[in-house]
Amino acid sequence: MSPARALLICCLAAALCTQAVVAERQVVLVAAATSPLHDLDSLELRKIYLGFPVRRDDRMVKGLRNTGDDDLNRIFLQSVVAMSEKSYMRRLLSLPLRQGIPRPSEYDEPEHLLNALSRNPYSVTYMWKHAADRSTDVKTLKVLWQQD
Amino acid sequence: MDTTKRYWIVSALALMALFNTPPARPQGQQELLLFLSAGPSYHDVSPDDGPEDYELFLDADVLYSYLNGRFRLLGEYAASTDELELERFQLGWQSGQESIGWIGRFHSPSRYWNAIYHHGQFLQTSISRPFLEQFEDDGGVMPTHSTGLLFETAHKLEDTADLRLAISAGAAPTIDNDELKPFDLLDPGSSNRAAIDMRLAYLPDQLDENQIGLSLNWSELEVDGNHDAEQQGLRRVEQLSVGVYLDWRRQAWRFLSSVAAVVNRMKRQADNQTDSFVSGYFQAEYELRHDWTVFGRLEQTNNTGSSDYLELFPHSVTDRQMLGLRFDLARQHALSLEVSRAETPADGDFEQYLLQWSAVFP
Repeated sequence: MSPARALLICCLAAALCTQAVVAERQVVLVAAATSPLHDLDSLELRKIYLGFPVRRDDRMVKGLRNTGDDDLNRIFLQSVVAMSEKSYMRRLLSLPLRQGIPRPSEYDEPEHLLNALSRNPYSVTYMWKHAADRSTDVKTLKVLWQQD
Repeated sequence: MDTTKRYWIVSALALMALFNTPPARPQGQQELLLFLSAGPSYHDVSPDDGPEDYELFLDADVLYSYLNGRFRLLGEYAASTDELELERFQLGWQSGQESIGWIGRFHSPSRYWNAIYHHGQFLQTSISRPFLEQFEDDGGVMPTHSTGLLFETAHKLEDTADLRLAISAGAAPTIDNDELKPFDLLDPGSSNRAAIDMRLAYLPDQLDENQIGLSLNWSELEVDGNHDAEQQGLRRVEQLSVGVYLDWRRQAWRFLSSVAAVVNRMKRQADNQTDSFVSGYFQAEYELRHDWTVFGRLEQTNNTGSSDYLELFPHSVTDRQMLGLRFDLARQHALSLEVSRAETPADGDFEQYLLQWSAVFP
């Protein structure tokens, strides 16, 4: 093998590895694989997780919280609702108190989260991209965060 | 309903809240919350002069909410060392993306403080409430509960701004002995007259909570059980209050303020008489590092000596200068300390010290 060819193969391998690392450090918005949802912009997503009504096909879109991973939770707070944990907790408490709207459900266990997602096609959640890629039960709607 | 039965109900609801894990059903979604607060209070006046000099207070507030499509149910029951009361019980139907109509017993929308905190003491930074926002059974001289119809709607303005309107019509409280007595769903009376409430708010950012607004309340308060008023031949009071309020956060600061002018038309057997007063408060809060918040409030009411209406509530705190400190711990708990110089029409100036633990479950 010529030195040039070996160098090219090394570069390609390095690029693939980098891609793999980047893919692992992405957070994506997902819905059930059978969900009719396909377009939710950042403002709508923030509204969903702050308890404002967002409808598709006259059905309220529900946001499920994935609370099993501290890093994921921190990224969600920064990238989706743009609030500190304390502020967000207070905002969520005001939903049932002021408007009679229950807070978004929280799930620590991935299988419980996936079950809840599959039960309601008009619900969304967020997870690491590698976890979404591994599951056939979900489809990715958009990338919410990517490590620089 | 007797007191024992009420205690059983609230105890059962409290236990349900403690062990509540809201199920994620595709159709209905429900939640049960329990707000608890407790602590000692000290006033440097003797018991004969009005407020108890030393008290230990304990409050439990159970809140249940249910959402199914466009339908909503909200119930709130408060139990404390002073009272047992079904505070709110309302059924709602969302008619559009931003509009909802309610029927039942609710907090009067004209009182902004109540509209954001209700009985969730943990969410409220200060321990005490301003005079303008006091509940009827805690020295409040304006209606804070109504039973009837409530309509809430929002109108999007340019960019991100929002205009929100809440308007209600329902049963007003009656004037009982030393306090207003709102309509009780579990023990309905027949002497309640009408109340109309309105709050109009402008929010520069619909997803934020900063807002300024106008509030209006008109109520017919029938005298029912107030011996002094009955001896004076007072039959009812037609009360009109018009106010403005502000709730603004900027970085670590938060400012909460409201001013209201209140006109009372006292309808007596012999003649009618009108008096008025203006009351306002300004509360500032500053979040320090490590979950500490320092806060203070100034509140003042004029014409307290010349208002016949305020004379019906001699132990209500009408003026206050207060400083306080709050520490949030373990996410769902807080410890607060408050020191006030307070004034009531009957007791004059006195100092008040409050210490409180508050929490929310789950």
